[in-house]
This record gives sequence, C-alpha cells and structure tokens, in this order.
Amino acid sequence: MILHSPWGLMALLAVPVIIILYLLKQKHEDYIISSVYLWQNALQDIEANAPWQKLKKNILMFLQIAAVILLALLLAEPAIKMYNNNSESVMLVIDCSLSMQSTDIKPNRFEAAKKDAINLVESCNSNTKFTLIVSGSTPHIVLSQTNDKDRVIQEIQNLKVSDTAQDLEGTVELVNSLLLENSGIQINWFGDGANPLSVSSSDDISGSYISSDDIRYHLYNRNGENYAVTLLSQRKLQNSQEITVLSRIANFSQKDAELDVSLYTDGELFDARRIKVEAGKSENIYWTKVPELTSRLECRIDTEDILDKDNSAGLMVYSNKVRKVLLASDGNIFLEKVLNLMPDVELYRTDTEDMYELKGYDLYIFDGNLPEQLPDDGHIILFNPPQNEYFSLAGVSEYAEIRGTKHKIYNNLEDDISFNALKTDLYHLPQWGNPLMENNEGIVAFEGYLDKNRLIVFGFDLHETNLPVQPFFPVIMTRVVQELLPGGLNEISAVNAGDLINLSIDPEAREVFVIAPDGNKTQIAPPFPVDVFDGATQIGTYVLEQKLENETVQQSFFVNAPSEKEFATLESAKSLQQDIEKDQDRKQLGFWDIRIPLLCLLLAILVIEWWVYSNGI
Amino acid sequence: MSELFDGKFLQTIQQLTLSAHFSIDGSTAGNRKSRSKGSSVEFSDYREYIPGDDFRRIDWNAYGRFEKLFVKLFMEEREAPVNIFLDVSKSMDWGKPNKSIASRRLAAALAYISLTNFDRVSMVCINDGIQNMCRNVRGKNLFHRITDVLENVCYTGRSSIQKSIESYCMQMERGITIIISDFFSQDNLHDIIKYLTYNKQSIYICHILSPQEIRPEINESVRLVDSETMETVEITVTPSLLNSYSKVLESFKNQMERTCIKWGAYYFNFSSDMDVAEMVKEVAKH
Repeated sequence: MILHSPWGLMALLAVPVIIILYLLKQKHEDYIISSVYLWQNALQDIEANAPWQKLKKNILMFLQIAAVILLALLLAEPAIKMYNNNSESVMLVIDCSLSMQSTDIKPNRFEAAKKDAINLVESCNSNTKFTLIVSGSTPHIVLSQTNDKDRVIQEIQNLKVSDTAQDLEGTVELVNSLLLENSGIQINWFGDGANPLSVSSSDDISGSYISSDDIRYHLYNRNGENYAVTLLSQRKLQNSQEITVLSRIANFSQKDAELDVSLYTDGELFDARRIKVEAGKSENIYWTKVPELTSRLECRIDTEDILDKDNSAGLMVYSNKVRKVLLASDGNIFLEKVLNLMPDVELYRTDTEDMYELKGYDLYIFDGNLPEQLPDDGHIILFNPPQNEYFSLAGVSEYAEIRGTKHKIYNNLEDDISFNALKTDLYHLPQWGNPLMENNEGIVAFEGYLDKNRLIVFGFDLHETNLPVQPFFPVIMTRVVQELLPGGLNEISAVNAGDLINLSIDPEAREVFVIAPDGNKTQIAPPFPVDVFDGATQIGTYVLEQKLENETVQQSFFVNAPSEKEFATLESAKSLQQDIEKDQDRKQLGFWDIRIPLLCLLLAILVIEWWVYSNGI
Repeated sequence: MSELFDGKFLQTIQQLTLSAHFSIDGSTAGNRKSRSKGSSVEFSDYREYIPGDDFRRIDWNAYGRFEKLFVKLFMEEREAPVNIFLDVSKSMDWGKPNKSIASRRLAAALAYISLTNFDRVSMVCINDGIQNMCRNVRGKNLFHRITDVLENVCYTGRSSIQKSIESYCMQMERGITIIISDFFSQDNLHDIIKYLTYNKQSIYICHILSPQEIRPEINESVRLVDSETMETVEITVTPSLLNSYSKVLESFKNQMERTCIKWGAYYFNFSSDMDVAEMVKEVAKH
C-alpha cells in the first residue's frame, strides 16, 4: 500500500487526544441528593478524586480511535498496489534533465521517479509491452515494445540523471512518432513540470497524438526554492587595465529571496554581495575593477537551495593574444573600420594583386577575390568570391532582401536580421556548409569546414548592400571573426550543458581531445573537419587539448547549468500541480484507490458508535 | 384540615394503638402498665410483708393459708412521657414520595396514638439544634398542637441528632423516645442510644429513606451535590457502583440495627412510599 499524501497521517495525533479525554474525568452536571454520605462510601475507587481516572474498556473510545485511524488513512490517500493493469502497452517517459536532481523530494526527484516507475512496471501484467524513453537534451528510446519486465526494471535502475536541459519538443515528437506506429499506448510521464500537452497543442507541425486521456503525469515538483547563476560574462574595455564582469542571478522559487553572491577570480574570493531577487525574476550584478590578468572567473550563490549545481557559473578569460588578420581587398572601408574596432586583432591589408605570401595569419579575408590556392594555416572569410572549385554558384539575385538564418552567431540578437542588397550571388549549399544568410531565392551566405579550414562565404559585395549601415553589422562581423579565430572560445565560455559546440580548431592541429570534468578524455579529431561537439553534458571545466606539430595547446572552457532553459519550462508546474496531480496522479496505473471502501468503513463505525451511544451499552 | 393530616389520615390513626413495653414512674395515672406495683386494680404479684408497707394491702386469705403475711402487688396504670424527635434537616425534604411527608405523618400518628392512650407527648423538631417543639401535650383534644408544629416545620440546615437531643431538657423519668430520621449525619447512633438509655428512655429508631435512596435512579455521569452540606461527589454510574452503593446501604442499616439490638432499642426501617398505617403497625408490634 502506498500513501499519496502521507501528511494525512498527522490526524493520528487525535488518537492520544481521545485517550486523554477518556482519562480525564468528565465535567458532570449537578444532581442534588439528600446526602452524599452513602455515595462517598460507595466510591471505593481511590482515584475518584484525582484528575485522571482508570482507562476503562469503553467501546465508544475504541470505536472513536478506529474512526480517527480510518480518517487519517483517508487523508493520506492510500492506494493498494494491484496487478490489474489491463493495458497491453505502456510507455514510460522519464525526465532525466538537470532539474530532476532537485532535492525537494528525497533523495531527489529523479530517484523518486525511478522508484515509482519500477513500482508501476511491477504492477503491470506479465504480457504488458513496455517502451522506455529517456527525456534529456537528446531524447531517445531505451527499450521498445518489450514485455521483459526484469529488463525494463534493470534499464530504469541503470538510468542516470544528466546536467542538461530537457528537450521537451524533441521528446514529444519522439512520443508522437511512436504513437503513430502503435496506438492505444498508455503514456506514463515522469517529470517535474514540463507539460507535454502544452507542446502538443501548440505545435501543429509535429502532429499531436498525445491526449490527456492517454497520459498519466507523475509530477515530482514541490516548488522548492531554487536560485541560479544564469549568466556570467566579462568585458575588457580598450586601454583599460580592468575587467568588468556581469552576472545574472535568477530566483526560480515562488518567494522573494535575499541571496549572498560571491565572485571568485582564479579561485580566490574577489567580492561578495547580498542582493534581493523577487520571485520569478532575475537581477544583474556588475563586478568592476576585476584585474585584467584574471584567467578564470566563477560566480557562486552561497544561499542553499534544492539544486546545488546551478548555484555557480564559470568563465575563462583569455589573455589578449593578438590575432593577425589579413584583409585582401581593393579597398573596403567598412571591413577595415570593423576589424580595427576589434580588440586583440592586428589587421594587415593587401591588394588583390599582391596575394603571393599567404602564410602566417590567423584569419584571411578575401573581398571580391580568391587566391589560386587557399591558405592552409588560418580560417577564411570570402566576400563576393568569383566562381571556384570549392562551391558552386546557383544564380544571381538582384534587389534582394537578405535575412539571417537560424544560426548561433545571431544568438541574443533581435529576430529581424535583414538588409537589402542591390545584387548578390546565390549558392548551392555544399555538403560541408551551414546556411548563414538567405533570401527568397536561395542561400546567400554559408559557413563550414573545408578540410581543416573553416570558411565563411558571403555572396554579396558590402558596397552593394545596406548591411554596413545596420546597427547589427559590427556585432555580426565581430562574432564572425571570433568564430573563426583559432582558439576563439569566447562563445564556448558561455556554453550550457547539453549545448552543441562548434569548437574552433587550430588548422595546424594534428589531434584534438576534449577532457571532461570527470577526467574522461575523448578524441574528437582526426577525422577533420571536427564535428559539432555534443559531449558537453557535465557541469564544470572542460579542457580542449590540441596537439599541433610542435606543441600541445590546452584551453579550458566552462560548461554551466542550463537553468534558464530548464526551469523556464517548469513554469507550468504550478498549473500542472493543480490539474494533473489532483486528477491524474491519483489514477495511477496499477494502484487501487481504497479511499471509498475506507470511507464506507468509517461511516459504518460512526453508525455503530451512534447505536452504542443511544443504547447505552 | 390540612393536606398533610387529612380526614382519612386521622381516621386511620384513630384505629391504631401504640403499646409500650417498658416501665415508667409517674405521678399522673395513665393508660400504660407499669412494673411499679401499687394500688392499681390489676393484680401483679405477691411479696412478704415488710414493716412500713400499707397493711391494707395484706392478703389475709394468703395469711390464712400460709400463716405468713403477704402483700398484694398491682400494676399501676400511669401516663408515659413520649418524646418524638423528628429530623427536619434539609436531607429529609427529598425523595418521591417526599420523606418529609411520610416522616411527619408517622410522627403525627404516633403522637395521636400516644395521646389517645393518655400519654404525655412532646414533639421536638430537630436539625442541628431544636427548631420547633411542643412539650407535654396531654389528651387528644390537644392533638392540634402537635399538628400545628408539624405543619409549620421548615426543612433546613444540617442534621445533628445527638446535639439536638442533648439540648432538649429531658426529664429524668422513664419514658419513650422515638427518633424519626434518615440518619444521614455524622452522629454516632451508639452515643445517642447510650444517652437516651441513661435517661431511662425506651427507644424507637424510625429510619426512613426514600425509594430513590434505596434504589438510586441515576443512569449517567453526574456530580452529586449534598443538599445539606453542598458537598459534591462526581460519579459515573456503572453497575459495579450501584452494587457497591447497595452494599454500603445494607451495611449502614445493619450497623444501626445491631446497635439498637445491643442497647435494647427498637429499629424500624421504612421507605417513604410506605403507608403510614403499615409503619405504625410495625412500631406497635413492639
């Protein structure tokens, strides 16, 4: 038997109260008689005048105690494990994202969910077919349509919770695809508030097969207090000896909080602040006068909460290594200005006719031209390149409105990245390329690895567009350049667990390794070009190790908790708690709700008590 | 004619006679037989003549037969002083039928019978002292004095029988003392009887209780309040408690009876629902 609301057992405290009431002498009504002389003698009980009397075998007392015990059980919402699950097919979807590590349910939400899932499997018929889906950053099917209960239980026991955010949409799509193949599956969703029904209803494209009738949501969320460092970034002003650090502290709980926040530089406490953060809001903290030689920043919330892992965030500050950039152009004032504004960039210019010594630069920018052979020691940006062997032209578009694609260089920028071009080339997207800009007719710009070199191609001449006068122009160009500079890990510094990372590999690297916080070393190259790195699933410091011809270069980057993404999806937990917990959670498969029989028994006891009382037994 | 002593009651008591089995000395002739042998008409015994005897009482016929002088002894008829002590404490004003009515009727009946037998009746109403009384009533024509006292009784105060009797200036002459009470008092019956015996009294103890005192009709948990002392006892009535009460009551009555037997007193146990005639007949047997 399980108790859905064990707090209901608090009513058992009434049992000693009843016994005490029976021990206490009742307050009697006065009854005048001629003399109490004989009664005094008759009362042989020596406790007659004490405040307590002997506990007599009073049937009313026993009935009342029984009634209180039944009432306590009723309040505790008992259910008996039953082997009456007639469903032929059961799907178990278990959320293994970061938020499931919260300890508002002991030992944590994930372990509680696993336990309940195992109970559920045990309660099912032997011919029930199980499908087990793990919903993390990359949802996947662990088991499909198996009736081997032992194996299902074993797999559930083996599940590990991750530090990543949940891909709810991906999970819902996966579930939908399975429902498409097998209808009549009962879904048991073990999560902490991310509502699959909300995704289903809003996403018409995926085609929803999940209905509230089929799904049993097992909610593991008691809305405990959780605070997180959701942003940590640094900026060094030009000609300044100091770094300014920005940290953002979020309060995901339902109460306002006063938090102690500390900033550590290279492991040493630099400063500490106490801030007030309203419930559901976040506050920015600016830390100034941080020494410029700091290489490692870490911001920590010292106030305890239900999830420790997102209470700190780290950031690597790279030394101001000067990068050499060669701009091969017949004259592009826009590019020159932008590149000159970038810190740590040493700009070299050359005419298109003097491109004979293409070696020794970290980045090559060819504006309207292309050398006979591409340099192999640096990454390359091409503007309006002539026809070549590396990629093919698809056409030309005139008076085109060009817009940005969904690419990470546009992250945190306004949605409408668009500008106009008098004329632009259109390209067939090569196999190694990712689109960067497009118009209605095709791909205008793309990027990708061509062997070891990373290439970004823009099909237009900047002079024939109004891009340079757009406010986002310097931002985009800065990001493009940072993306390509070897070891340019500024973006990676802000990575969240579970994110896919485009590691910027030195073109001269022979072997590339990533060392995880737990010490596991993974070789990611060769083969070149390096794939998108999807192994940043642990919170902590990763090391990118590149073995060059003569040396080994190690660069660290932090992987922080994806709290903002993870807990933002849990906003619906409040409404879920009201809707699902009350209704569906009680209808758990495999458990027989025994409240009705208990209620009948309670009523019967009350009737007996009334009968006993009225008959004076 | 009052409700207490209506015509039917008076008719009943007129038919009753109370007889005393004790010797008394007195100066006024009454209707009781005395062991004091004297000049009465009813022969009692002979004894040898001793100088100083009234020679008129010498039985000359006996002298002729036995040649010895014998004097005839006769039972002397004379009045008996009858003292009726009626308990009028608060506890006597309780029960259904009320003990106060039964006890006053019994007192009146005994008084009337005494008066008709030419006895001298004193009716004394006592609680923690003497509340009211009329002394030395002779002749049934004065019976109204007795009833006046009884009708004007006020049931109040505690019961202190011994103290009250002691405060009554009892004449040191043989007589009858009747005590009518529920005896719910701290007095020791032994001391009372001893005192009265010392005062040459033939003692009649009329112990009167209400049916509710004999068989309590309480079925719940109550706080019992003593009508006299306002003392309280909280009880939860259970069969075992009622059983215990019955035993205590029985022991109480037995103790009183044993004490009475020991000192030659007569003990009568009445319930207030008994007819007064039955009570009087019970007393009259002795």
